[in-house]
Amino acid sequence: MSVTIALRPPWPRPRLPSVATAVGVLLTGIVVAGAICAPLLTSADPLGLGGDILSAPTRLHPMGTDDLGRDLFARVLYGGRVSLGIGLFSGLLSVVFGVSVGMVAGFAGGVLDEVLMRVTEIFQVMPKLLAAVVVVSLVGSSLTNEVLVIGLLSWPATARVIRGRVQVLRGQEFIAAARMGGASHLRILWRNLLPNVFAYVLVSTSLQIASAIVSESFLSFLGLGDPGHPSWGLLLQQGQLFLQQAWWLTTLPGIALAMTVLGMNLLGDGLSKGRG
Amino acid sequence: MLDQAGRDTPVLSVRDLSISFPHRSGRRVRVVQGVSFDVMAGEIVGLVGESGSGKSITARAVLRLLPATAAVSGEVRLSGENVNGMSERRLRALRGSSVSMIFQDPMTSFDPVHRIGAQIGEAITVHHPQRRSALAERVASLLAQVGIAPSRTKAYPHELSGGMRQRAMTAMAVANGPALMIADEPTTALDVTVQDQVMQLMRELNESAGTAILLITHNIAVVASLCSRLVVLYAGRVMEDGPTEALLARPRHPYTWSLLRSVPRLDQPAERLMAITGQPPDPAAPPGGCMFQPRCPRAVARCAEQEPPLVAVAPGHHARCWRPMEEAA
Amino acid sequence: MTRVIVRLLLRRLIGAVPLVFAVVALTFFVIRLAPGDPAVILAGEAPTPEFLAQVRAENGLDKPVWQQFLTFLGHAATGDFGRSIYAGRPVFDVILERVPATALLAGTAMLLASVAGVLLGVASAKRAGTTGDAAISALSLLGTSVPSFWIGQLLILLFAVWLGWLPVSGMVAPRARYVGFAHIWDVAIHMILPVTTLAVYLVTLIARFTRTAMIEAMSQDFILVTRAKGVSARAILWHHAFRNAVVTTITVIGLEFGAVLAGAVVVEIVFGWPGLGRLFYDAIYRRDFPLLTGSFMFSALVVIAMNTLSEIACAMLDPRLRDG
Repeated sequence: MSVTIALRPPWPRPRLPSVATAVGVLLTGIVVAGAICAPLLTSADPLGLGGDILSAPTRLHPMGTDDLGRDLFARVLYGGRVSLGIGLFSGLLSVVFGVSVGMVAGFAGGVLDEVLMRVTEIFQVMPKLLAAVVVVSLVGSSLTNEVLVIGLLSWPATARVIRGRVQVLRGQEFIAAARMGGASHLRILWRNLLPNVFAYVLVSTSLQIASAIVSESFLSFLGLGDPGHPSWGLLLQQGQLFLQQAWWLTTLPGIALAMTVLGMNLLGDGLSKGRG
Repeated sequence: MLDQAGRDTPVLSVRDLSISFPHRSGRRVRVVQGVSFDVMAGEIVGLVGESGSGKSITARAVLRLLPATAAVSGEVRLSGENVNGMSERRLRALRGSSVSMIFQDPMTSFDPVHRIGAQIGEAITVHHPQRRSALAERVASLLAQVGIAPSRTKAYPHELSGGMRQRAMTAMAVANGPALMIADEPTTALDVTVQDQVMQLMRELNESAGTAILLITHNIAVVASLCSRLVVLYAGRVMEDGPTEALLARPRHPYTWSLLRSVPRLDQPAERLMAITGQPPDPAAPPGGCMFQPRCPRAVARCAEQEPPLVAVAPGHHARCWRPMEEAA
Repeated sequence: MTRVIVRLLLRRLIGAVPLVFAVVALTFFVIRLAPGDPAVILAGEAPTPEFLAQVRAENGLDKPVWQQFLTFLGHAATGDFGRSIYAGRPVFDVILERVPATALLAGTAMLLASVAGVLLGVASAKRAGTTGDAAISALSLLGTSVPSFWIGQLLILLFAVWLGWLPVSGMVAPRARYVGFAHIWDVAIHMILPVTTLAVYLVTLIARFTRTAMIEAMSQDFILVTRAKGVSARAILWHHAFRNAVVTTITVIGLEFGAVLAGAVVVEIVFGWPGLGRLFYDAIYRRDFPLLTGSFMFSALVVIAMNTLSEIACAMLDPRLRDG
């Protein structure tokens, strides 16, 4: 392509987007690796009580201990498994749901589109986190319930983005060609449209996982987490009780949480910029 | 107000103007190279070229409206005053008052959230603060002048048709009685009957107020009847300039000749229409020698080796060609 | 003009009706579909059989489901969200008592966040592509990434525990009983940290969206036209570019109001602020389901109201949004 001289001022993107993406990969990588390799990194039991109560970080307990003498380092590593797991599954659930709704609405158009978008709007306007709290406290807190509730409450954003893309693609020639060729609607959605919105699906997935991790920490902070599987949010809830005595109980799990979410957001941003 | 210097000082004088932009390869790309031309008071000059020829960039350089990444050299003088090196304050005082601009797309040229009347009013008050009632009266009379009912001052841009918007844009451009109006493809986005109206409007403004007009277009036929002189731009260079009649009757540059051939004219049978083959050069990778040489039916070896200078072919008529054409078009 | 606004108001208000209906219906069905006897849920932990029977009769749980739903709708329409088990009073009254404290917190935070977010976003857009812009963008991303309760905890650690400059929690100093100006000052001091905490997320979010909308607006043709008119850079930035971008900013604020309320819940817990959020939290712990669902419905209605307001504001600011 020859240069087209921009008659509009060429607004540059913020500098070094690739560096931001690399930082995102790095942050996410560290946390994921830590969670996966938890047994290799510490021999302490995240649930095992100890005599050393509310100890500040020492060589033995690199992140200190909590009020029951449990090793915080182990709790942060294993807590990562819980937070990342819930984030991953509810993120995926919301993306699968959102992509399905968005693709069908965008492709079908007409009444079906109108109905689906009305429903999407209802979910978008509803205070998601408060609804999650009400539902989880009614149905009881377990990892599965958390995943289901978070996943099923956070699909509207994905649905809207995908619908917009599909509406643009729908009018293009290759879709018309596929239709002429007698392809079924389902086949067009699956074979022709999905690959073309896949970049958006990736971006959504990354952002939704990040958002689901934050949502989970919100539920856990309100005491709706599963105490048998302490997530980072649950650690922060415990830390709140000892805020004035033990700074490490809030600071350190929070850093792990912030690293993950920032990393996934950077990744999502990087993916969405690389797309253009 | 109209420039008092008379016909001897040009209202706009461009000398050796070159403009370059940064390219993603890291090098700078020249999109305008050594362009010179004058517009005299009360004159209508056409700046003609295909898209990408640098004509819009040149027009923007006149009021220094290029993005910050553009590097500009050469001189642009407005009534003798050099624009490059002018303070931002002085420049703002000139913009919209002694020199105004009309842009191509009337759909996007107005701010969608403000009323038409308010936007025309803004063009006036920026330069001449005045009372509301007086301003409203002035705006209404400007709109009346371009054939828009005064009640439409309260309309928002999206409530007007494309033709109406372009007329409103013209009213805004003449609001402060400029000595020079730069019209960048003012009719391109409009349909043919509306094009004629807008052109007619330009002619009337020129005749009644003596406003000089620099008319930028890719369609040589549309402006031919309006302009006293034409400047033909190709790949950022002036290929030919001269009085309209001479240029139309006897184009000396093969590019001008091709341009004339590529537009339908009432005085010629339709089958003689022909498109110019090939693409304009990529400014990032210009051809050697003459810019038009790869597409030129008359090119010889020398054309690819050395770029020809712009030389006089007749009094007031210049062409940049090693083998200027002799026969009549 | 007034006719246009009245028509607009009516249309948006009518548009909000299905949303309100959906929220009430959802609340009803969530309670119905939850495992166990809804009467047990409504009656709270370990109810006496007499109380259970009373709850059943009061809520018409012996009637068909559709009739129950209509009754529920009717009650919700009159602001009757049931009775709080713990307080023993109508949920609506209990909620209303807490509104001022939360309104003060959330209102102040939104106001400050809007101003700061807009200023940051515009400053960032003006310098698009520079290091300063990248720095603001990175900080914004960080701010939207971390949960607000953690920011609150860090602020307490820094300003209250280590530096000792500000109170750790509460709305007023305990046992001080200040009156008049001293009272206002006392509340203001106590507000600084929670308001900051609640504002961080909003500031960064508003900054991000405002930046994008400003860059988009600044690249429009009419900006060039306006420059060519001789309008000053400052007037172009605010009177034209921001005037176009503000619609995006307001939409974001409207859509994120739910997140602000959720943020208020955790911030109130972290800072012991006696508002709606604290009430919500206590309701979870006391298994006070009528209060919990009532507060949810109330919050959802407030969110819908804010959303409708922001839509109306947008339509008033952008004439193109007035039809359809």
